[in-house]
Amino acid sequence: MDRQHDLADQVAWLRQTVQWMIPIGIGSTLIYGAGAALFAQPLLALMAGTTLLVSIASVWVRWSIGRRSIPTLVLALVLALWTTIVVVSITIPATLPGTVAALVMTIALALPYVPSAMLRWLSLAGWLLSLITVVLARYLTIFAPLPQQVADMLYFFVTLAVVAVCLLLLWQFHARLTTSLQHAQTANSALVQAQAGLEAQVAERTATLRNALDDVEARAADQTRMREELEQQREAIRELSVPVIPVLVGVLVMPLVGALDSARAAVVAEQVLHAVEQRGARMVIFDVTGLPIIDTQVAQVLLHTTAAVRLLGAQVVIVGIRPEVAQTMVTLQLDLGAIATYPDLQEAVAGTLRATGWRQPERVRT
Amino acid sequence: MEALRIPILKIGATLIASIQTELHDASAVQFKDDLLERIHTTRARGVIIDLTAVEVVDSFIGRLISDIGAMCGLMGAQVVLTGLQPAVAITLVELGLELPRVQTALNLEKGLALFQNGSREAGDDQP
Amino acid sequence: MTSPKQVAIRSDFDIVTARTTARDLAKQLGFGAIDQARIATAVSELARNIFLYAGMGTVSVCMVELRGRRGIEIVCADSGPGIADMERVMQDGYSTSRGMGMGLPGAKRLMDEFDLQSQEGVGTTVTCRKWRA
Repeated sequence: MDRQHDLADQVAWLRQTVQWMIPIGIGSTLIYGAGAALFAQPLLALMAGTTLLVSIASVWVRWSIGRRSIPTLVLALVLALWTTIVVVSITIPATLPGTVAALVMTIALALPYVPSAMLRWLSLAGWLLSLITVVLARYLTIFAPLPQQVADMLYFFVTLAVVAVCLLLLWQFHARLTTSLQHAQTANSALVQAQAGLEAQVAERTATLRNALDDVEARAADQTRMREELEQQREAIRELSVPVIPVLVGVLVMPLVGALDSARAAVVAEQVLHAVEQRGARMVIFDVTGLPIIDTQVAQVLLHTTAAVRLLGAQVVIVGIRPEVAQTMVTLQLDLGAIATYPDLQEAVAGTLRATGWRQPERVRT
Repeated sequence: MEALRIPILKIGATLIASIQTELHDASAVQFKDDLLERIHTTRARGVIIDLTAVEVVDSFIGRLISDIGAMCGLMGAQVVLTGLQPAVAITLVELGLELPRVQTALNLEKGLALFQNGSREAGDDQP
Repeated sequence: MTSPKQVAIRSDFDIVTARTTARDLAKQLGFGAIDQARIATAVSELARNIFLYAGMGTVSVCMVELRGRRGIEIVCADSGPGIADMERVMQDGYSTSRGMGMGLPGAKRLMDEFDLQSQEGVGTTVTCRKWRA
């Protein structure tokens, strides 16, 4: 964008410059032309011709802005001016200082529009040209010197023109510099603002993200806590649904109700064994009246638990197999092994007492 | 590291061995040899093996105990296992080892009581 | 997953070390007493298998986590002769050495997940896991 800015600026400056040069050029041409006619001086006609050349060049440049590259246009202008300078210097040696100054002016004119490389060549060419011009002007005399009056007038106008253009150029430089500085400052402050704005945005975004993260963490912690609570509750329910009831000393009854899946089976086994260990029981009665079915899995559980209980020195007896359950078991060919079964609790206790010759501890009445 | 030998005590006609440490294979085999030797020399009629301090019994130890039961039985001594932890009992059962040829009691006291009550005859409790 | 604890199996003492390590980790992870016994027994079975059939191997124990559940993972590896007939070896009562061959099927019953990889002449790796309820 800066380059385009520059280009637009350049175009504007160039336009301004040639807009000054055109009237100056045309004006000079007219004056010289009038002078030539009035004073019948071919020299003046020559001057008019050169200024006309410059005017035409300027008009052409003005018209070509936008159609050709700026360096090209500027180069054309410079060449036109140089032609004028050389011609004038050689034919009217009196103008020499002014024309040499004009040469420098052309370089100054071209300065903002051409790239550095071209500028270097132009400067070099200009310097050589000035040298040649001075030499030629000193030693080549084509025309007779002008009458003093005319010469003065010429001098006057040439000087005016050159000074005017120089001043214009100077003013342009000043304006360019100021504008550039302004641009730079504006751009800078805009950048600083943008940066501040961005920083604010980033800070805001970070804060939002952090909040979101905290939220997520809090939720995760909540979930974990709830899961743990749920687990505890489940555990409690499991334990509650598997009670062990001590009836006589050394005898435990465990009513089994509901479904006996592997999870509950594990709890059953644990509870029974724990109770046997704690109370020193020698007999465990499983009351299965509340079991709707005894399938392979349930039978397996009962057998396993019985074996484990036996390893602790107690024995297991099963009570309460319903008729339909008995039928299913036989159909499934389920065998409870040697676990004794009884129709009800009383029979179970009596039967086991008989079978093992179990002696009632203490409490002997004499 | 030398395997520590398991001490075997004698009370009347009963031998008592309490297993306190983790049972390495080598120690277990050593124990079996020691026990059989002791039964032979003391003419013991009963052996109580207390497993209260044992936390892990795998298939090797389980089988060994079963074998010990059978061997002692052949030599005229009844073996009673006491103090099995519930966790160990369940694990043994899940492994498939129910030790049918060995009698069991909840603890040392009850084990001794078994012998005193005269139920020394080899015979399975409810398997 | 935490870094696994490894136990080299070279003698019957190492079997006990392996199962104690497993049991300790199980306790740390919050397994109940009975599950601790199951895990320790399974490790004992598998470690003994390594010792009996391969002579030496390693048992690695570490924690695993899946969908918020915690568990223990046990990997028993050896470079022994490998298992020729995997199906048969998983049947109760089969054994090529003295003993009743309860190691593998027993361990499988005690654990929740069980995977057996073996190549004849190369070695055997058993991976099993148990999840906290």
